[in-house]
Amino acid sequence: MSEVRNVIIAVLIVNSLAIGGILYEIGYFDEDESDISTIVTAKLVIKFKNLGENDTLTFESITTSESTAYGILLGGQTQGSYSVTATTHYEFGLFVESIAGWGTCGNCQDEDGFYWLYSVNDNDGGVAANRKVIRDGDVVEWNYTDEY
Amino acid sequence: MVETRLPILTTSIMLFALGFLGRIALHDYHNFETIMVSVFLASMLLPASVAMTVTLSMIVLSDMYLGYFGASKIIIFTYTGFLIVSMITSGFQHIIRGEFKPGTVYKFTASGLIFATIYDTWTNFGVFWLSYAHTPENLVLVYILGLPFMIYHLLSSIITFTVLGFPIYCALSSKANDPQILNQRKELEI
Repeated sequence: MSEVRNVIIAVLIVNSLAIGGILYEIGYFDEDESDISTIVTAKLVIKFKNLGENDTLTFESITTSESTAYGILLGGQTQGSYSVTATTHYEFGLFVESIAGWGTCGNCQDEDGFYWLYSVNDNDGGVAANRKVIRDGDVVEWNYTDEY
Repeated sequence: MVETRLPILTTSIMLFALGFLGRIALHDYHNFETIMVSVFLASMLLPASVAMTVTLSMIVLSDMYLGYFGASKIIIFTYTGFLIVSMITSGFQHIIRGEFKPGTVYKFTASGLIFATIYDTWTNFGVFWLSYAHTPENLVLVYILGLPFMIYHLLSSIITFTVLGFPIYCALSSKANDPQILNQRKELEI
């Protein structure tokens, strides 16, 4: 009976550590709670680096109710008359496949070695775009690039 | 050595169901999956060849169900990653195995951490190889970018290996002093 108790204690110890780590990873203990459903207004820049410096879409003010780097990209679709396709990557979560017809969607033009990557205020995202929380006034840049 | 107290086919089907159904049920929770622990259990409880068959079938069939099969060359690395885990487990199962004791819980915890690390290191290398220019800087970059996902995978592996893997292993594994097993072994020796 004491062996069962010891096993239960062992399982509880390792799982408490693991669950604590996961909660920390997802920002559960952060004071500024990562609420992605707030309304934000940010600047959106979409650069097609395969086409040269002049081919850039710039939206000074996009308002979205999904306050993430991905949300602002979706929010600009109507104003910018472009479409976005995304998929769920095996390991990295949400992965933007194409923007405005460039990328790896079925009918898209695909430039070899080019992928859609984003930055917020010139800092690489580091997490999937639908988990990167943005705030009012941020500059979100989506680059179709082969420079990683 | 076969360690399961149930027939091999029954154990295989149970572990296949754990990996296949668990992966589909947890599909929305990235890096939280039951394939790894099923691969581990299959390699602990079944002959190596059967364990590999169970491993491949649950990955391929769940990939087909989820629409991943053939969608990307990364599956070469994900499939071989699980096969590497299967082979290493089969090779070291005599060290990992244990009874219903806290020490076995810790062994399973360590196994989850080690195998998730091996798997993620290999598949991240696959991401580098398939998607990036082959430079040392990019290799480092891929591993840095993959770190948040890897940490999450490590932590979730602790949970799946101890909450699912350990009790299932204890329930399915044969006891060394089980008279029935001893008789079977004697018969085999004769």
